[in-house]
Amino acid sequence: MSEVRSALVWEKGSVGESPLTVTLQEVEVQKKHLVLAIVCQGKDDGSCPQLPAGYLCESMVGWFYNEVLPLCKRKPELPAQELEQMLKKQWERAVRELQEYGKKRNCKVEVTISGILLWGSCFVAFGNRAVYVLNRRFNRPRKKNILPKGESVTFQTGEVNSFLSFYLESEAMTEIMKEEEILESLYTETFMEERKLEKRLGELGKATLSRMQERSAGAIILEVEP
Amino acid sequence: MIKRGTVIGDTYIVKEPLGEGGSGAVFLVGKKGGAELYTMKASENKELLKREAFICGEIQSEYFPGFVDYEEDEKYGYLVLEYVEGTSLQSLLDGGRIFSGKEVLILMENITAALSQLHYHKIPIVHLDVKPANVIVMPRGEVRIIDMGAGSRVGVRQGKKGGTYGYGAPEQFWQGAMPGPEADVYACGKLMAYLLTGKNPCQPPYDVERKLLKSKGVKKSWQQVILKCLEQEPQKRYPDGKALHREIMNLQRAQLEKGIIRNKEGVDTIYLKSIWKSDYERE
Repeated sequence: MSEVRSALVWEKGSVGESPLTVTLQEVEVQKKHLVLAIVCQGKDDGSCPQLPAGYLCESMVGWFYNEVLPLCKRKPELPAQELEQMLKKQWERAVRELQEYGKKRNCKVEVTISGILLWGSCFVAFGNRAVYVLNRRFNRPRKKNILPKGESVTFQTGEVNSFLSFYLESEAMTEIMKEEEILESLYTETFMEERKLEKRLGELGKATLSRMQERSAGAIILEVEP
Repeated sequence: MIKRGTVIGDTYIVKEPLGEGGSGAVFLVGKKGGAELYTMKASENKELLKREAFICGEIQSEYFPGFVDYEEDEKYGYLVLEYVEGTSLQSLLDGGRIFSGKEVLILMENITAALSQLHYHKIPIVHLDVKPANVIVMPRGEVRIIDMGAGSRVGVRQGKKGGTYGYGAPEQFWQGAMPGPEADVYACGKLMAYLLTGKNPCQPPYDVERKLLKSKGVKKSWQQVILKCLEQEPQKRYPDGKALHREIMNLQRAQLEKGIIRNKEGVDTIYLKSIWKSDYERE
């Protein structure tokens, strides 16, 4: 069975209502890890900033427990491609519902999102923001975006064949924190003890906030060893 | 009276009686020349038994015993089903078994998943007799729902009142009733309250769940779910097994520690983390 370590940080900042939602759901079933990790931020027009990201993430979490988990219990060998198809359908449904909800509430409902759905050793990365893998290239650790570039949400399936560290971050962290700072804090070639991971990510969140208090900051790191 | 050793339909041999209820007597039977065991229900009311056989034949689910055969002679109808080895929830309760909150949620998760399959079948079906005696807990912790004797297709007028007083929804006992999936939801509410409080709903005083749940310190969110199941008007309850199943899953998630939701003898699902950070208030 693969090993998984994860940590999450969410710093609200000095905003009234934060447009940022971060969620991490982790379950072990059929001796495999099933994980949903999302960092989602609404494009705030001031009227109800917390709504777009919160509503979407709520829909995705509900889908995760009500549809994905029972399916994985029944079909432990569920392939990544089938998960990707399910995820695409769910995404379209969630966006449609969000748009209808936004119309009723007279709110702007655009988001930036990055997420990972992990089932055992296969994963689907999705988003219109980067989903990073922290890896070493030419002896220097790097953040590498594994999603195809584009403004609309894209999906990428893959297999975890060796130790892999997924990293999702909010806009504030991308803009404020230098890549070297993040990598210095988080990059490791082997498992970091989860408490240490949580502490380091927490410190990064606070560091982001100390540089720009009026922005919310959030991130998730997910380490997988097959 | 069917005795041990009786041969039915030249195929099945009665091994031992298992019990007797309103809809017939149940026996453990084997096949001539075979080692496999089956459950056989015998009833003089062949029409009712044939209806039950039809329903059992339609359901193909891991939560219900599979349909094997139907036989008739001059006196009885005989419904043969897959044998489910386990202990009924009623026997466990009568034996003094106390269930933890987590165990109750696992049981209800399985029962509502089973009902969800009935209610969303291509011909939607209602069980109408959900109670501890009809829930079998198997050695590995799986659950089977038995006795479709009161069951019917949704929207079909029952010729005869079905169900068990104490668990049955009010509308099940009205003449010419057409109870829907909400009736099964009502029974689930009674069952869940029984498991949490130890008070048998078939024994007086009746309908005391509201007071008892509070006095036993049952969490408010759980009370709300149970009391919604027990609304007198069907349209005020959860509409079907699937909706109730979702609520049970919500209660499970709210129970999260870095903990384990265990079946009776094995681990089913381990909820490791459920973190939600947002200013958005989830419904």
